[in-house]
Amino acid sequence: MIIFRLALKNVLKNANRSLLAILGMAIAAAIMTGSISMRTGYVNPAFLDYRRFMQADVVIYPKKLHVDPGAVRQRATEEWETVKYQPTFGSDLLSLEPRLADEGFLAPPGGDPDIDLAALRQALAGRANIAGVHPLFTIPAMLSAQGEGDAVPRFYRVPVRGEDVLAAKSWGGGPPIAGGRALVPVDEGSPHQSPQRFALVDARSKAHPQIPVGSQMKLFFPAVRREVAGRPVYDWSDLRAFTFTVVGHYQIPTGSSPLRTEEGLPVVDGQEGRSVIVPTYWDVPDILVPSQALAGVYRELGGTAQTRADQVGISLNSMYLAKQTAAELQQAFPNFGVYTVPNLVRLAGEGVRAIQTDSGDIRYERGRDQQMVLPADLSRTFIVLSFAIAGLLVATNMFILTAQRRQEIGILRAIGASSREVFTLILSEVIGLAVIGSLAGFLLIQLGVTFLLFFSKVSLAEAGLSTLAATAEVVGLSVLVAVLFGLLPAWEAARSTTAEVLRHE
Amino acid sequence: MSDRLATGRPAARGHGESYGYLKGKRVSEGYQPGDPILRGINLTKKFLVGDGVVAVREVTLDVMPGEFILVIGPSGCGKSTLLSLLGGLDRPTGGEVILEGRKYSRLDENGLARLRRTSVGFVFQFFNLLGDLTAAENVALPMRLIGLTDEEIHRRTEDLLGAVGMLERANHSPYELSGGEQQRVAAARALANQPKVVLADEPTGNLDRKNGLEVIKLFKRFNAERRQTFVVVTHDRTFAEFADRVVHMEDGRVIKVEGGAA
Amino acid sequence: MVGPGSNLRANWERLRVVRPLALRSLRTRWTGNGLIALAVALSVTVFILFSAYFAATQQAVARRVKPLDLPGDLVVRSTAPLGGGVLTALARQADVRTVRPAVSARLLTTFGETDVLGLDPALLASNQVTLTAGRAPAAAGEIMLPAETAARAGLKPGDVVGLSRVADGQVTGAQAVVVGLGQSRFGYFAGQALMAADGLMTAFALEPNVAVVQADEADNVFKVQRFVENLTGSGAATAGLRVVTARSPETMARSLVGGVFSSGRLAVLLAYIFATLGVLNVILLSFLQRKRPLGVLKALGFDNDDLQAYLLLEGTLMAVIGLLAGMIASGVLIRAFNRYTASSFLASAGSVVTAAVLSLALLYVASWLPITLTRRASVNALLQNRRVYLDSTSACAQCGRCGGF
Ligand SMILES: Nc1ncnc2c1ncn2[C@@H]1O[C@H](COP(=O)(O)OP(=O)(O)OP(=O)(O)O)[C@@H](O)[C@H]1O
Ligand SMILES: [Mg+2]
Repeated sequence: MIIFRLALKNVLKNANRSLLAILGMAIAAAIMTGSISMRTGYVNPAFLDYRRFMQADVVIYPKKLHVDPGAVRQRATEEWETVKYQPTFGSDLLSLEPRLADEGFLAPPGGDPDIDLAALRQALAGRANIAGVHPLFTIPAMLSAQGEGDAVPRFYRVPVRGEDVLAAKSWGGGPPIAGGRALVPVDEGSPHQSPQRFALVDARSKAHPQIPVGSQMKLFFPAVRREVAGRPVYDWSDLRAFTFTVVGHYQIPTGSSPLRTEEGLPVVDGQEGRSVIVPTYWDVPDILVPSQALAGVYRELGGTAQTRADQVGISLNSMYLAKQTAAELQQAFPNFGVYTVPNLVRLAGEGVRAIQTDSGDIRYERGRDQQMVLPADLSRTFIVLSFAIAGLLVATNMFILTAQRRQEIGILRAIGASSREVFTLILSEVIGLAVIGSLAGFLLIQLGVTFLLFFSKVSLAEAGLSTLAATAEVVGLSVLVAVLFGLLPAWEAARSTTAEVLRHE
Repeated sequence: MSDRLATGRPAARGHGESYGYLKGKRVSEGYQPGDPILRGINLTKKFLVGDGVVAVREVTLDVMPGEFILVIGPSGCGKSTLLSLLGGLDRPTGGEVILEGRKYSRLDENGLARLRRTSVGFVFQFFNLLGDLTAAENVALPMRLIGLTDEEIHRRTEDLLGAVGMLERANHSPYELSGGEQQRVAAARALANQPKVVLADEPTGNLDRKNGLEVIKLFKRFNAERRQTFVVVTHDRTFAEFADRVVHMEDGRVIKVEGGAA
Repeated sequence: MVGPGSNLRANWERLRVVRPLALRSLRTRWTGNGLIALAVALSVTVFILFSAYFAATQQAVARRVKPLDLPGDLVVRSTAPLGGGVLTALARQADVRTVRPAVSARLLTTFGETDVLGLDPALLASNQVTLTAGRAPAAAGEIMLPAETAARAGLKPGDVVGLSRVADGQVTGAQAVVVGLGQSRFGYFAGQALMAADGLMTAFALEPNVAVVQADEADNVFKVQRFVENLTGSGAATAGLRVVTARSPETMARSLVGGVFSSGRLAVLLAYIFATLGVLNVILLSFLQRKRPLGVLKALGFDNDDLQAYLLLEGTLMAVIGLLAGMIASGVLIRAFNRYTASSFLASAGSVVTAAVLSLALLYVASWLPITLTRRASVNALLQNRRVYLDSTSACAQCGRCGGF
């Protein structure tokens, strides 16, 4: 027992060096905890606004457009080709990643041109964690709007999007509305009974002049020329006019960014001298109308019903299992691109920049210059690596600790401590440091994760269980590494004879 | 030449007279043979611990060439501190040390190192041989520093080890030597570059009487034969018979000087 | 002898003195030094393995990518009109044989929204356009549709289609007759309807925004590509200028793999940081254990540069051993992986050199603290095994909050 008391005293005495060892362990444990919680899934509030907007936790597109190097290298015959989305492609992808239509992207061969909804619904039936399937329907339209200084109305090409989510309030939190109100269920009323139609427009889009809340907006839709296998072919020489009342402006925040001038220089606050940070938004040109109303418009254009879609959102029961569910879906539909919304948005919408135009307005631009990719799962290597080297850090620290106390060890041995006892002394110190360090790192990250879990739909039991499992994994591994790396200095110290140690001084 | 002065570096190491420059000034000025070889003028050393410890107070000491000086005093009176000031191991808080006309205060760290290389030899109480090297290698090390040829080093090492009676143990590690033997090797190392001044801090402190006496006699022999100057700190008053002068210290001051012309 | 020559000589002399010392302490202090070598070896292995895996994946992906089919060797395109400057600059470039202006436009049509490519009639009539019905468009007002689009829209040769374009809020309309159905082989413009360039441009008052460039030799394609890219950089060209060649997908694939491996890069960086901290610890320890001998060396007349050379030499020797060990280990691992698994790692000389440079950098960063301590410590402090401080001014030592070393 005296040995352990001595160990504790030493740890306290060499506080700053012990701190270094603890820090090394803590960093490694933090990385590991982070990777583990990333592996399981997402906490519910992640990218809430996007998830509301896309009506989904997981989104499916008809083409797989991420590169998975591991898969390429296994399937040696797979040839990747450049694919461009046609203008008729109706999905958020094109506004998330305009270059997909512009320059194309690399995709594995054999993707489907669109998604057959009936087949998808059937394949999804009975799967765990699936709460709902929401195909995205848009109808292309021409907006006629009169901007400031325009003598006559001008025309702008806009997608009109069926929107349930802002109407249904089941998503928690308020809809992202900048002015006016959100769409509500009565707005959806049958177009035949109520001639009034309601819509939301983006608060910030520069794709067309801003339309004030409460004003009327004229939209021209192309007639449906034909329907082929549940998809319309529109005839733009036959336009039908519809009038909508703008009830509100929506906005989709993406975070914040330092404001820059057109030349790329930071904008500096004149008084405080600090650079200005502004919230950033995803400027989608889409006009949102209740999906029932949009279906009505589609019928009036001469269509019957769309049975195929270019984007399907899937809402989940538990966001905590989102990653796992997405992986399962990807496996079930190898030709589709399956993305969790947090992943998708992070990959595609990352780095939205705010730019101050010469007129003083703020414009948003996406800074990404690369095709979206899914990071390969290097997390295991990552964990092993960080621990091996954190272990090295601990080992070297222990060397210093023992070296600085050679005299003490010599005296201990001189007064009769066996080499086994010295060994135990050093090893218990190592383990103590490792446990403290890894617990500190673990707690730091896990507290944050657990905090977020509380605000999600994850049950307490589920959260508690996963936390316990992660604790066991992280702390267990840390101690293992520490013992492995503590053996060497402990052995060194135990080996040294009294005479050798006491020789000098 | 002016470039060299500006960088404060000697052209090459070794052989002699470039001990170092500081700020382009030659530090050796006006030294005449017959002047004191080593002078400590008003030396004061204050350590900033607690309220401050003054280890050496305004000590002035002139050491003539070829002199053998013994410094004696109670423990903690500042003997070791004084010696390290004289050897340039530490800098005084006040006063000046001059070796052959070279003022230490005008030398930078590397200048002092070069000075120690050639002009000052040290012998310590705890021998301080390098454990990684054999006895012969320990003795040869200072000669390597000044760039002597291997043959020259070999010749001189044998010479020195022979003189201290350690020739048979030349290839032994210090761990395999007794205290007295280690101290004799240390003495040989201190004398390797034929320094004008040898400073020894309690060289006999860790030895028994017989070995201690042997070491002092060794010093005396070098003092007599090679006209090397010795300043030896000791607790043992019986060594006074070997000394030209005995300096008594107490509480950081020189309280009495016995013998010699002074 | 003044100048770098003498400096070099002095350093050589220095090495001659400290070399035996350094070699000797390698032997006597093998555990600590072994740890340095181990840390270096680990990080070198991680680095080389990662680079080899990265290179192999990049090559594997690049090899699987189909080259693009283009109407020429290069296609230069822009979101805005190219402007005469770019076209004449291209035509004057020595390695260019022909430059054919073309135009790509998004039109709203009676068969839906579509992109239409206006090309030189010579290209339209070439064997790169495969017809399934009718003929290639030759004059204004003629259009050729992809067979699939025509089938969906229920169109056949002879039908008249309406085309319109929205720009700046204005709508311009025109008509065209479907003269042929088929497929162009221009993968980059896949799915686009084809028209004669002049006809399309006059119908909608368009300027060329595409240039189809033929180089004089296949070997010079890259040169021309560089030329256009430099045009963009110099600001002489319109914004959004892009060059597309048959190999563009390969370039894209390579950068894609780079994105995939970015987290791996972070891991490697972290490995190096941890290794540096570990080596720092070991060297610091070796300093702490050796204060006395270092003090002796100083007392004997070693100057600070000698001591630095001594400590660095010792560390460098260990780093070199670690480097060699790491190289051997990664070589063995790569061989084993390539032999017993489906993977193919590609070790490159570049990555080995980088690993070497990185591990030396690691060592020098880690040596900074002990070397500085050695330099700043007074001989007495070292000899008496006292604590030494980074800043030896009395104030720092007095405060002592850091505890010294
Ligand atoms: N580095 C230091 N820091 C603080 N105080 C010091 C230091 N070195 C010496 N002293 C103090 O200076 C005084 C003189 O010390 P010094 O070692 O010179 O004595 P000494 O005469 O050599 O004693 P001894 O005979 O015991 O060796 C002592 O009181 C000592 O505590
Ligand atoms: Mg003393």
